[in-house]
Amino acid sequence: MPTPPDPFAAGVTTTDRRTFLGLAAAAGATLAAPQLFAAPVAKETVAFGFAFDDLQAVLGVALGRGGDFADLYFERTRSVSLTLEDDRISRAYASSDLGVGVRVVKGDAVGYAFSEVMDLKAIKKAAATAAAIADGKAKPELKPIEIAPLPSYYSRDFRFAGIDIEQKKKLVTEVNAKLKAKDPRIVKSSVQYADTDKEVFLVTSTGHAFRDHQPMTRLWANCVAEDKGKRESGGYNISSRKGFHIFDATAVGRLVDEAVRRTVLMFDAVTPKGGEMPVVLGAGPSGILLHEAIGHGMEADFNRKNTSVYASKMGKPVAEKFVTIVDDGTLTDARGSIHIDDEGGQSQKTVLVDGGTLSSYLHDRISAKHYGVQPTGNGRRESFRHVVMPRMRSTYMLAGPHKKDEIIRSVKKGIYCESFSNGQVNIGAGDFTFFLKTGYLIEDGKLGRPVKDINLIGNGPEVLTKISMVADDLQIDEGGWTCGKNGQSVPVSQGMPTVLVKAITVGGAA
Amino acid sequence: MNPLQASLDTAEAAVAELKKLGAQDALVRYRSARGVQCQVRDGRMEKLQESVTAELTVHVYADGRYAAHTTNDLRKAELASFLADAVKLTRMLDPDPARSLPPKELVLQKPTELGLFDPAYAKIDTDARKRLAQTAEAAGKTDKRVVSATADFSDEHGTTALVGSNGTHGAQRDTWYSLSAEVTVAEGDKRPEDWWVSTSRSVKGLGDAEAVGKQAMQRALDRVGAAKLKSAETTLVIENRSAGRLLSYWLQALFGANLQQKRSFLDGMVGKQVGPAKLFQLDDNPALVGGLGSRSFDREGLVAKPLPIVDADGVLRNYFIDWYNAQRLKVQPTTGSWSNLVLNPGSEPLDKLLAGVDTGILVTSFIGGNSNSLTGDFSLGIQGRVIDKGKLGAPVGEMNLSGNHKTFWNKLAAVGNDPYLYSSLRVPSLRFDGTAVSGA
Repeated sequence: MPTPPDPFAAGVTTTDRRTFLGLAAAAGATLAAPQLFAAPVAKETVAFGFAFDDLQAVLGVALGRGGDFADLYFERTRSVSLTLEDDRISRAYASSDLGVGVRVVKGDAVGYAFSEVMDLKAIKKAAATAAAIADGKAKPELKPIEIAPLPSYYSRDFRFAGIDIEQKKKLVTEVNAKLKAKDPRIVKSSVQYADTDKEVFLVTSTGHAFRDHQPMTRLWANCVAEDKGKRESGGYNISSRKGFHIFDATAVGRLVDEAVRRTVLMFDAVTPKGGEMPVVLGAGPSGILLHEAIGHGMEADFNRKNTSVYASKMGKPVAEKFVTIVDDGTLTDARGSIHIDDEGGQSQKTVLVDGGTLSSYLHDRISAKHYGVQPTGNGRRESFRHVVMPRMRSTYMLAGPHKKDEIIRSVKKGIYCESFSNGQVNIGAGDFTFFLKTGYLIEDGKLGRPVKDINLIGNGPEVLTKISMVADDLQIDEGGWTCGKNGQSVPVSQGMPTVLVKAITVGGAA
Repeated sequence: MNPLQASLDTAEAAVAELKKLGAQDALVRYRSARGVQCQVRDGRMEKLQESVTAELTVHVYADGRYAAHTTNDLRKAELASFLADAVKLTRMLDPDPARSLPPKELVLQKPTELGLFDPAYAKIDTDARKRLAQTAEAAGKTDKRVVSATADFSDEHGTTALVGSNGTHGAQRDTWYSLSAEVTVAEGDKRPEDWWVSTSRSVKGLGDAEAVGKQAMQRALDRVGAAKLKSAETTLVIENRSAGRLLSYWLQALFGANLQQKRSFLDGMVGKQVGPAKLFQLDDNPALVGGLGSRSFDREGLVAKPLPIVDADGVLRNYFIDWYNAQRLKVQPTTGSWSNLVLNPGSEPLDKLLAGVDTGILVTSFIGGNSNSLTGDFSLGIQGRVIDKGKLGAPVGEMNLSGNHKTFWNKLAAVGNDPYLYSSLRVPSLRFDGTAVSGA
């Protein structure tokens, strides 16, 4: 749903209502230790101050009109961000968000409401609102609640709230000093740090429940450099579910080196001549192509509605045999990893394209029921204010039989892509774009001058058939990607080995 | 109690508490809102959501330092510890002499009536919402090639109070409605899609619900058979629905934060020509009655005033400079962002603009792409229709428009009389000559 205008806020623009992916801002950490699972009340509480029978009572209201299924999603999120500009940490933003969402499902239809007030009466009122998606009367049978154990893809014990703010300041200050020392042409540098502690508790009308802690952090370095009267900008960022210790000397070194290199590289950059040409996708960030070209189109809600370009291709060959594409929620500490999805579905590694053949959609509970298959653990939501939808986690292509050098050598005239800022897709027509921030011309099998700020556009299924070489150097990108769909943002990861696409339309001069 | 007074009380209490905790200054914003979203597909309701929210944001100025903090947990004890933590965190940052609140004479104490609130809001119930969405959805699937039509009726009613220790004091109610439709049609394995939306501050302003569905369907049908053209230098007519997006990238270079961080290609351009005279004239007008971006005062509490951006001679007159960046840049503040940004309309409707084009492309939407506010380079995916001897022809897709803002806006050759009213960027259809597009 489009964002409502706010008379006091910045001007409202009409955005395209399509799915997009970008390195958009997130915020992140905590001021005080959260006390979610142990509120001091008389009866034994399970989570957020409520006991099993309270939860059952709310679920009873939710299904009171004849809904098939209901769940309650409790969330407490605390975030902190620090911004350094002009050698000063002169801006901080801290936020605290608390609430519970009530969802009622009837067939393919969803009723949804939430309460930001943590008392039983208010939550029951939200449940009654959500219940109205069904219009009958029912006396629901509720199963006893069991709390499921979770796997461990990231730490559930670490709390950013436990890290002294001075340590965070020290990190930001250190990155800034290193940026400035790295190259005398840097005239402006800025560093942003963000962390989030998110506590969630989910309980369903089928008796399933889980509690999770979902940490997230991100560190950005941005530079403006000046040389002979010409200015250029660039940057780099690292995001992870690992704790604060992700930012060790190696990571800080990489952040600084890459931010500066990508900035000063631009002094030599040219705008290529536009048109259709071979494109080599560098390992790592190029996974953005998978996210846009196939990932969104495989989200089963679009296919259930028959609105995806992939709706009639299941089980059919879509790419060469050495192309296998997965969406994986289980990578250790990855930004896109989840222990369990936001409706209790087990996280897994789902194979979208298996040896060139389309093999599975990305499902949430509703779409899995529609297709009569098991959910794939892709049911995610931005927060307690949002309904669950099929969403990606970490999307990447497995390594293939070719070598990076061999791929670049095979191109007479084309573009080598290194880093990107954002992408977008039209699910139905299959047209997708991704925006190149840094790359190189390829001339006679060798990398030439750098290129920058160019949009690439292609058609998903057509581009898949044009992937003609896949190298053995898979890399998962460490950047903080955020995926947007129907107004909801969720953190994701992506990865890629070096890949050759025979032809794609590159923006540029006429 | 009057909801405006209740909101003001909440904000005032937080300002007083922050001062007691040792903050020298504080600006507090409190917003509460209720929104409903009703989505219809296959004639029945597929999603019904009600959102009731309340949020307090405090801007704290303590010992020459600044931080902002937001919470929705307004229980007494939790709020007290939140405010105490807010002051504590602020004090741990580095001092910044540019951090202050604007003086009392620049901030407003009483909002003006701008028609932001629709008294009919209370009368809209779920059935009315469902009926409007059903009407739009039904109108969007009358052609047998339609595989899916979805219509969405969303609304919000909110109250915002802004109170500052510098004398900022005001509260306003607002409403917002949107009726949209998305239609997908069959073309072999492909499912071309398009959408239409009507947005207004009053439910009456939404207009005909059927028209929303029909527009979305016609636009989706118009996408059938889309193909890319050869790369070329050609004339582009950018339809009003999309022209605002292109302009929004140019506007990024006007923001104080980008100027201060040396990330603006318009740095040093005030007083100089940035576009063709009589065509590229821009004004920010916060006082349009019922405007989607209308406001009495901005985020920092600065009184909203009409602001010329580019005058009739195509000369840049003003940047968007908030109070903080004005202090850093040592210039006068204007306002931190646009309200209703108006590109002065011309006299011709879209079909007249098209009639003057021998060969070209009508751009109906952009897909993806980005822009660099420092260098002015931009590159965007485009889709639309061929223009052949003044008439619309085959659909076009999978192409890119690339250029540099510093030269691109000089190619503006004609401006339509049709400003897009469903956005705070009121931009008409625009014709550009000699632009580079890449395709096959």
